[in-house]
Amino acid sequence: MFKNIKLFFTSTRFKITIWYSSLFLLLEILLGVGVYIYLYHISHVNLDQNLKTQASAILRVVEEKHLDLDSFEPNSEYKTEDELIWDIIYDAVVFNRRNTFIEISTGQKLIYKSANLGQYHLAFPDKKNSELIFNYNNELLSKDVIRVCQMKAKRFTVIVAYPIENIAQTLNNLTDIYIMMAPLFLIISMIGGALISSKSLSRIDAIIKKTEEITAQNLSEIIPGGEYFDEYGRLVNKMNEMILRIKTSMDFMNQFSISAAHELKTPLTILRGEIEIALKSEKTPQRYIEVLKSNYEETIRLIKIVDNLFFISKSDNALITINKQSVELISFLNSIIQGMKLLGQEKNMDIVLDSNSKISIDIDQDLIKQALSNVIDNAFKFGDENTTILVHAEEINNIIKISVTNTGPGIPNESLNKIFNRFYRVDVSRTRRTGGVGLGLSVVKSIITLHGGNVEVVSTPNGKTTISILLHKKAQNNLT
Amino acid sequence: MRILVVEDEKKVASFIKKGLEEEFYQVDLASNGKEGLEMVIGNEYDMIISDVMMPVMNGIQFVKEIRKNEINTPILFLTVKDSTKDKVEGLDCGADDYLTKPFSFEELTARVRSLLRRKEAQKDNILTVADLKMDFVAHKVIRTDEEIILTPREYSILEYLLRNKNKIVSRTKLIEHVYDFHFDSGTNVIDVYINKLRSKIDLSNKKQLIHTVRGVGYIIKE
Repeated sequence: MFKNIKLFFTSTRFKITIWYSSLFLLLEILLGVGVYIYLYHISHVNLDQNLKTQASAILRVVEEKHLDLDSFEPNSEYKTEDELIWDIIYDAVVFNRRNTFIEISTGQKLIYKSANLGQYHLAFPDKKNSELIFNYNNELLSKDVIRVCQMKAKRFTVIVAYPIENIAQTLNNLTDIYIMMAPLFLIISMIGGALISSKSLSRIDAIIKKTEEITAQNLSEIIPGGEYFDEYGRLVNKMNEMILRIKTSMDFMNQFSISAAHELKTPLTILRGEIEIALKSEKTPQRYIEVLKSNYEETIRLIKIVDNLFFISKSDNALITINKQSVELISFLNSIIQGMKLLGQEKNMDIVLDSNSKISIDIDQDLIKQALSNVIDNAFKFGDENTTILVHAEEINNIIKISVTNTGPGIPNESLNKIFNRFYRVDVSRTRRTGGVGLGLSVVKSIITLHGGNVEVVSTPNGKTTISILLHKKAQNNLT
Repeated sequence: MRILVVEDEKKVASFIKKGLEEEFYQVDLASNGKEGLEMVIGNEYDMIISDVMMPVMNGIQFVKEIRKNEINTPILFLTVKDSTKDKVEGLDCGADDYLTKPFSFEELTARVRSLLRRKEAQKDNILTVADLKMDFVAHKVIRTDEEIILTPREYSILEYLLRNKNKIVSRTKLIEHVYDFHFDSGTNVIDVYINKLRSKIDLSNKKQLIHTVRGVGYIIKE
């Protein structure tokens, strides 16, 4: 339960929702503040404009009518002075909002003040300016600030004022609406965030589900959704490519272990069969000796296979350290050749070294000896009877080339680039018949690659086959 | 009973031959499918044991060719390939049984017996005629509770006659099934062995079981 809750709070879905709703809320606040400032500004500008218009209109009327407000006498049209002023104001302002304060004065004498001023009147120190707008505080008139516009002409001074109470009220209402709507916005934004995140993450869930299903046993299955060109599609494609790479190396490993098992099975079959039959009934001592000899041979074969396999997996995992020393090549080759001459006895084959110029080279003697032995061993195995194997060494531009050439059936063209593969056999069981295990040349390849060198093969059917090893005189960079 | 072993690994072929010969079978060897096919067409075998991975002609092609030639000899595959796919492929191409290397020789002989039994529609490893009993597992021949000691060759002849009881078996057939192919069939050696066999089985005080069919061959019956 606790784990589930923890999982929920750490989920991307939750994070996206939180981010989304926070952003939404922030936007709402920003919008609110923006609208507030804008409205505040606009209202004030409008108010000032209105005050100015009203003041100037009144002023214009009172000035233009040339009415002698100072010496007003009631007549048929206007019974009181106020009626006249009202008419003027009405003319000027169409309608006077109830709480607009208006004062008309000439010099120091107040001619008119609107009724809502009551006993107060807006007296300001006479300013020289013909037009003034300013804030004025008078708690008796209004709790709010009063915006005042004072206009002066030749005779009259008109003051129009308005408490900005209404603007404040409107803005307060606006703020209230925003505050009230905030939780609603928050809920909507969270729902929206949850929807968006679950919609966009539902494909992630599908990917997770499928990925969980894929194990070493079903690596050929793919994660669906690669047909989309969005990020998920790309992710799925990359994951599928990765699965394919894993599958390829798994297949390679499986093939390697199957091949290795097959190689091990032949000598084991012989050992088991021969021993079982030997034990089944009593045999002559001669027969027992034969069985033991054969078992010994098979044991040696098993050791050879295991050694090769071990070497290859060590080199695959970079566990082989090479210990290079300067060696005089010709005497090094001679010692190997002398040691292997015996292999040719059965088929009356010979082996000769046809180079004699002194060459010094930096190599790991043990490893290169193993590689050359494998190459020469192959040359004997696949060479025709009564032929000679030629070993040649030369130096070309600081690269030492050692070639081993035999005369025999040769390697078919289609097999040339495969002979260094593990367990590869040109003929299904030819190497087995000749005692090989299909690993010799891959060991050669591993050793030479470790030296930063390269192995090449040239073969003509029923002619000469040459396997060449290319090595740096002083190893630096790779030759591949 | 004559068995052909087709196997490219010489040492495997050689111990199978030795082991089967100890079980009184006659064994011929071929080192690949092509060689094996020539031998199967030229001779009559009671059973074929074949490897799968071989040069020139592999085991699958070999078995297909045999079946194409309408030869129904039981075939047992003996191979390192142990996946289900390989087994299915082997059995579907016409083989009767499949054994993976390294195998137990005891199991191989049991499977050989089983395949031979099936060939003769036989229920168990004991064949009888009248009061004569032959046990193929223990390699024992018993007549009225008395064990009769036979040489391998005599055993083979009696086995072949018993597997074909109540049927006339020609001398040529006997030679084909109880000798491997190095044998020169021109001699009357079969008659000599039959006489030796009779002297051990058809004792004077008992009913004669091995009969001569003049000019044709022999028959074993009550």
